[in-house]
Amino acid sequence: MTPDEAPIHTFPNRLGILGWLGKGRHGVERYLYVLHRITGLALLLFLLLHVFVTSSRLLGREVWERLMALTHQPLFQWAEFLVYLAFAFHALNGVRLILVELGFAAGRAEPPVYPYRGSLQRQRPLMIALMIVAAVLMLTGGFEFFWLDR
Amino acid sequence: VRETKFWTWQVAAAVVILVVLGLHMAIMHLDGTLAMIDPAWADPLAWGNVLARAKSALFTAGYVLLLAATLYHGLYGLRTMICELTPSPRARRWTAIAFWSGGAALFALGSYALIAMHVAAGTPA
Repeated sequence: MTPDEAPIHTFPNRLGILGWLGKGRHGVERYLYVLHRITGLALLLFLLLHVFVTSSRLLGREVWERLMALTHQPLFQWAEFLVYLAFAFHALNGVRLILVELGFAAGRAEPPVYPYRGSLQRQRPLMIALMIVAAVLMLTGGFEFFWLDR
Repeated sequence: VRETKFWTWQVAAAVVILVVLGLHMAIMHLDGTLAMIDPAWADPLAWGNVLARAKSALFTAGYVLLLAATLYHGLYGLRTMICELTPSPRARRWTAIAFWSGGAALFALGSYALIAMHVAAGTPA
């Protein structure tokens, strides 16, 4: 049996989607994980629509300008701003996940002396810094959408 | 091993998206802010600007790369969630087949539109 053919060991996911809401005591990172999934799903839905809308350019200038006039309606503008917020959060939280995945921000090894510091506590300054950057991006976007574009 | 490869591609796609989509979002959505620096950045959705970007080989290649990376990243993410919720090997197999074929169809449509626009924009009227 090659490694590719080896069965994947799975465990019953008793809570299902309810498990995303967090049952028990969790740090803020747990809620960032849930928000990362929700924003990811929203961005994927937007991407599928976006592929069809932008492909309509092939039908010519008139079709494109009619579609763009539709997307300039207030409802679409709000939806577009929500997509922008989702992007800003998902991107910056994604940077955190990649850095953690690659082993950055874990800090130097420490002796296990009370009061213990868990890995999440060590990574928290990185999380706070990246969420501040995300907030700045969101504010810049808000300024753009609701001030400059009007 | 195969799953590890898929995961590595997922992280690699995220890095590509971060750079290319970051630029795309800045150009398309922060145009008012960028226009304060250079008025040429204003109104990226005007037909003339759409054609100018389509004419550029760099923009076209960047969009094709972005399309591939976002489709892979998004569909792999959704597959992960589905696999978490449904441990049945049959459901996993069908999810993989549906996502690979759906993703390939969307990539074909999107990249065809990009390349056809690039060719049309470069053709003298």
